[in-house]
Amino acid sequence: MNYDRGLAKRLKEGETTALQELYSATFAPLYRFAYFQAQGDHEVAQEIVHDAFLEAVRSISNYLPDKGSLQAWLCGIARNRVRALRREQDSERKAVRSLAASRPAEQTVVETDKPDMRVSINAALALLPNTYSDVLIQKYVKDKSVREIATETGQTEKAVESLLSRARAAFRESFTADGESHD
Amino acid sequence: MTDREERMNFTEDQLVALLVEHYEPVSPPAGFEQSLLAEVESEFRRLQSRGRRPSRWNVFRRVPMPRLVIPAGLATAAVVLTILVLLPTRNLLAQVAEKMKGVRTLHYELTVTDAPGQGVQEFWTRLNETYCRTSVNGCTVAEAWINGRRMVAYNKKKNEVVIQATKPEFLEMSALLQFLCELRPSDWKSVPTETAKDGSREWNIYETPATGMFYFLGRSGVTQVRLWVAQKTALPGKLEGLRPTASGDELVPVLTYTFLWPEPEAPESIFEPKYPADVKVTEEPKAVPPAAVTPILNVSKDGKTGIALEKAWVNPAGLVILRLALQGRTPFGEPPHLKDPSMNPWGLKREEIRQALNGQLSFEPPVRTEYVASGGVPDRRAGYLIFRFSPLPEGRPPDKLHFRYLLARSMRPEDGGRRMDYIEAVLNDPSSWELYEFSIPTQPYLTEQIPEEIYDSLNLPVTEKPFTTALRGILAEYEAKSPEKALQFLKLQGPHTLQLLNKVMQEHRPSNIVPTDSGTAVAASDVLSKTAERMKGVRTLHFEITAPSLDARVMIEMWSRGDKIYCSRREKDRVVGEEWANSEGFVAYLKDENRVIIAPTEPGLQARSIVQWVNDFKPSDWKLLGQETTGDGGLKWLVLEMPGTGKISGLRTSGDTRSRLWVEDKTDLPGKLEVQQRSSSGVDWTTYAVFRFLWDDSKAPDSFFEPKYPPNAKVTKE
Repeated sequence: MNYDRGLAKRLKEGETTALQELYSATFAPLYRFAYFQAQGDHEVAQEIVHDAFLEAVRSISNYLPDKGSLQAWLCGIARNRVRALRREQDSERKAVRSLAASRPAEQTVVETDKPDMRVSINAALALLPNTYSDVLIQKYVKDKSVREIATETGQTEKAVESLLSRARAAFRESFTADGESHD
Repeated sequence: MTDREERMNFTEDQLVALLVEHYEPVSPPAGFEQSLLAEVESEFRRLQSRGRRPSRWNVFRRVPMPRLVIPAGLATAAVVLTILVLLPTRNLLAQVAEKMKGVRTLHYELTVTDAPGQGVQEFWTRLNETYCRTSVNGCTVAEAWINGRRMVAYNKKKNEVVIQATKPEFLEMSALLQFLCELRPSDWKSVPTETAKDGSREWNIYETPATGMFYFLGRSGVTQVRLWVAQKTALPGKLEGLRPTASGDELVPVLTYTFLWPEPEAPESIFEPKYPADVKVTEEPKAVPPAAVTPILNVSKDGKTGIALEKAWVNPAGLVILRLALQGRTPFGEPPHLKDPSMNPWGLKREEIRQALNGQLSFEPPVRTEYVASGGVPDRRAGYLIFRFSPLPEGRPPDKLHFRYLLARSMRPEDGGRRMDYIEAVLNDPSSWELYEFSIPTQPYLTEQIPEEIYDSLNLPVTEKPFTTALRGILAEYEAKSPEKALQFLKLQGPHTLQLLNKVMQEHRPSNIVPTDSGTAVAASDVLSKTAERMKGVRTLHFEITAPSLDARVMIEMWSRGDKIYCSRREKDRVVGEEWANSEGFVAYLKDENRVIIAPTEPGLQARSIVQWVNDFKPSDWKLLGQETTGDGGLKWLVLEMPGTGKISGLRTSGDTRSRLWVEDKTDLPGKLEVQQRSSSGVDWTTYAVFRFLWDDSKAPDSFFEPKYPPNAKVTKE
């Protein structure tokens, strides 16, 4: 979190390299997050990521390091954008329904943000720091051994095991915390 | 149990298993990451430059305004006082206009917000001469000299000179001077809340929608222009071009012209290119004359304005659309439409266009023409002229249009004419015109093939400024071949503007229905009887709905049988929602949200009543309006009309409505049903909904009408 605090400070001071640092660290996970929130629609995902980054540079002064990482903050902005898009779509649907058949105009629309497991898992992964998500993918998705990962990353096997352990715990925490945002 | 509590039940091992099951690699589209980074960096720099630089303008805004409480007894006095204060304010712009009349030279700096670090550009400009100096940290790095013929640009760092022919964007400065000299107070709205004080200086700020007056403003997405005027001197302080932010909540300056007063006359020598003798000079090749000369129409009485005819379209009903490009005095001369409200945005009086049609612009073989409308693009360099052949020559759209017209001699290809030569020739010697003839191949079109933007430019309600601004913005993007940007621009407009735009789109779209004679009407009656006969066996109706109230990307397709209905809603070929209805219940599945809504059905299902209506089709209800032909001249549709839509429940039955029915002559089947309402003006009709019938495949299995959705979908019952 100290890193995020320092990075945010540099951003507030207008340091362009800090922006590039933030961008390179968060672009991929944020895009992943947006992509799944957008039900696999690249166009919508691009719109969300675009709006999230612009909103972030405009309101960097609102970022509170104590409340989470910059990456989580960016994902929060993206999530708000997704909700706004859903509201827009809902109003379109109302128009369609009223055209498709004679129905009462004042339909109660129950908002539900509860995503399916595929979205939840990928969103939780996107909220993790890159080191954590990378090691989880290498180990479990690509089925590499700890030794292989250690060789590729230039770490000791012990360090990789420790990293994996922290990554798993962080993944569970991220998954649970993401659920909170839907309640 | 909340979602969080549910999720807490998962162990790490279970989550890892889920990760293996659901993980999907995601790659953003190529180039997106880099292009977005550039945009984000640009925005970041812009914000920093605004925040760091203690702009004198921003400083004013930070000054807290004292809250005034006016006792009730003083209210009248306050009103009188306000009027007294406002009166000189209103007169201020008139004073500016008066002062500017004597100004020959304009001296100013240009700041482009999106390009910080590019240095300061300082300009001296006279009517058609400009000197521009670019400095970084007080050091001159580049100079440019521009006149109506060419631009000489000297890059000091590279020690290089580039000479090229003048382009519209190079002449922005001349247009700016012209604009300030012809400032019309009535165009501007005072923005009192923005009035700022700086001790000795006091500014009044005025605002107007961007009208495409200048090339840069027109092309940079600027939608609002603000003029800052010094109260003491009645001179313009700066002119800002503003653009809405991505969220649309606020306007931010994109371009700022800061005027430097007092204005001394610049020495003549400043406008002469000066660079070292040993510099490398690159002269761009002169424009090659086009193989076929662009036809020029001379329609202004003084012979000083030329119009090039670029394209022509003719439809089967004889409606002709010409795209014309204005060539002549602008931006050197005075834009005549600024002075005369009867003029079109591109500077020609309608009366002159009529004269052109009846006089210098004539057709071979001779044919009577009827003026329809004209409209222009934002930079006033092109416009559309629309007229109708009455009747069509030889009864069909001609392959070519033959005109007689006047041509400047210097424009003839054999004389090696170029555009700038032409302009000079026109300005200096109006007698250089001669009678010429030409023909231009026509492009046949049907109404739906012509971009709606062209029609949108017709008969603009000039009093609706936001509307015309929106329209011009859309046209500008359309001209730049960026329909997506046009749509983006459209989205930036407020609901009122959109409403107006929609209204004009509907009302000004010309019909290509040819009125029919009584003999055809008899034949049409036979066809309608056949249609009624064909309809009797129809059990299932398959149709698509389009309506102006729906997003253009949305497509609704319906299958209807008896009292059962299935409706599919698509966006970009992706099904986003499905609905099933019968006389008892209504089930809607929202795919993106994996949610189902179940509700009782209200009486009078529209899709069902359309089936009923199709089955009960009565030829006697309909009046034959005419026929619409295809491009090859063959009869395609019979077009019929009947008042009211009461026969189809669910559509608006109140007010003045009518239905139009297209019947295909080969199959005798209805092709589409268009439901229209009387427009708010009471004169025209606007389309409310169009039902296009799909007869190729009208057999749907029974299972089609049974609701189908995933078992894990959230179901809401009303």
